[in-house]
Amino acid sequence: MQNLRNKSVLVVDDDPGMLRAMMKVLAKEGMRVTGLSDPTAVATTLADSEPRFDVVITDLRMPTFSGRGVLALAGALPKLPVIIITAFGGPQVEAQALQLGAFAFLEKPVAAAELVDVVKRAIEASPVREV
Amino acid sequence: MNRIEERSLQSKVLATVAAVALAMVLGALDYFTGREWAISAFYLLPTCMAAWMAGRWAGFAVGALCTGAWFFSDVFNGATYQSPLIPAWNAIMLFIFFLVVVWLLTAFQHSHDHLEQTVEQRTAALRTEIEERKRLEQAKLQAERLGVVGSMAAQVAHEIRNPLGSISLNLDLIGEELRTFANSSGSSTTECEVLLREMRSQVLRIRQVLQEYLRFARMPKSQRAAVSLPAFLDEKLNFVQPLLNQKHVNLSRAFDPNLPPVQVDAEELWEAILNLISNALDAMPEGGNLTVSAQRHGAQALVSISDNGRGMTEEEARHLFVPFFTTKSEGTGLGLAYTQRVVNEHGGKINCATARGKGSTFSIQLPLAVGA
Repeated sequence: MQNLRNKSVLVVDDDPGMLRAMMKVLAKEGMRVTGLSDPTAVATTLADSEPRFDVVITDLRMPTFSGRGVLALAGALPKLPVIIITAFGGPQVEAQALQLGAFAFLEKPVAAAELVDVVKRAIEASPVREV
Repeated sequence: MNRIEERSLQSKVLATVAAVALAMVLGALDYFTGREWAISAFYLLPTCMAAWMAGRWAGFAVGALCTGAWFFSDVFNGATYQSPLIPAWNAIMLFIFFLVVVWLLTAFQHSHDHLEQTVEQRTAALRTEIEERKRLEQAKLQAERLGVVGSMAAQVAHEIRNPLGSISLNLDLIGEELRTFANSSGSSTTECEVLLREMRSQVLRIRQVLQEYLRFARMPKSQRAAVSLPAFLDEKLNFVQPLLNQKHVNLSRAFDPNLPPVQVDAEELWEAILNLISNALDAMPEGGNLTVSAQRHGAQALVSISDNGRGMTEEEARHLFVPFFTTKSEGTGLGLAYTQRVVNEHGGKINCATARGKGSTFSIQLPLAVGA
């Protein structure tokens, strides 16, 4: 399984508790974690980040800018896997998110191992890029 | 011949016999009073009685008898006429008069009966329609209530899921911290790990309850197709058979192989039935008998799930389908509400007959597919 050390992840969630917890879990795996509780800053962060992110994890329902928006922005960047994690799930929402190009769909609450596992699979599935 | 028809035949015979007797009495009276006293109008009484109570042909027959009685009393009274044909002619005229009266009376009666029948039929149709409307209104009210409850449940569930997500991840982080601490200090953290495991299992429990609430709140749109219940239930019950064996529950199936199909969302219906089976299993912790049947009941298919478990009290039975009502320590109270909702949305009905200590029978009525 892919080692996450030094891989870069962008985590977007308007719930500060959830954001902090996800960031800690991923940081423990040795990832370089950028967290955003304001989803409107996603576009700038994605554009400015150097080197580019290996994976994006985003909440779905957020004020002013939804996870679908994040998904669309990430879609503009070649092969950037996006993992949706939401409290507003359901089979239809999941199907829609996957159709829109999300790599995986997780419903809150998730276990740390599950989150790490999905992130590993996402990075593994995306082609190796030059940093 | 049923009892009503028998009674009606009896009363017809009795009425005819009474009319004949009355005609004979009138004939005798006519004879003894002599021809100066005209009482021929009284012959209308037995004629009309027979016609009204025993029908047109009995009326004609009694009319003919009355004509005969009048004729003979007239002739034997020694009346003299200019022509011997005159009494016969008068008798024919009287008989024609009786015929007309009988015919008019029975025609009136026929139309009266027809009208009465129509009124009865329309009243029955109206009553059925009122009942159906009442049922639909109740179903609508229930659906609206469930809609409100559902959306509230969904909102609450979502609100809980966010902090729960963070709690879940933080528990994992604490676990990791504990392991690191134990490794570096050499102290035992077993007690803490047990507590953490307990907390994790509670998080999982909340997660399951939330999933149940959300499943109830956001019922997906039905995908209906014609389903043959015997084959469908047979197949699905085969899947749960191992579980039933494990719980020492003896399953009996009673399916009418000629039962026409129903138009349902098969998976939704199975989920609804599975809820009932699961409740039946909970009601028989020591094992017991479970009977699943599917029969035709008029234009409906009747699916019954019976157990001989602990049954319910009247009070419990009254609140069965109310969302969030449960008799189980770990129940969400949404299983039966969901089942009822599925059945109602398929245009069906669900009832429960239960007796404490004897068991419960849930009956689902579903309309047969059009053309069945």
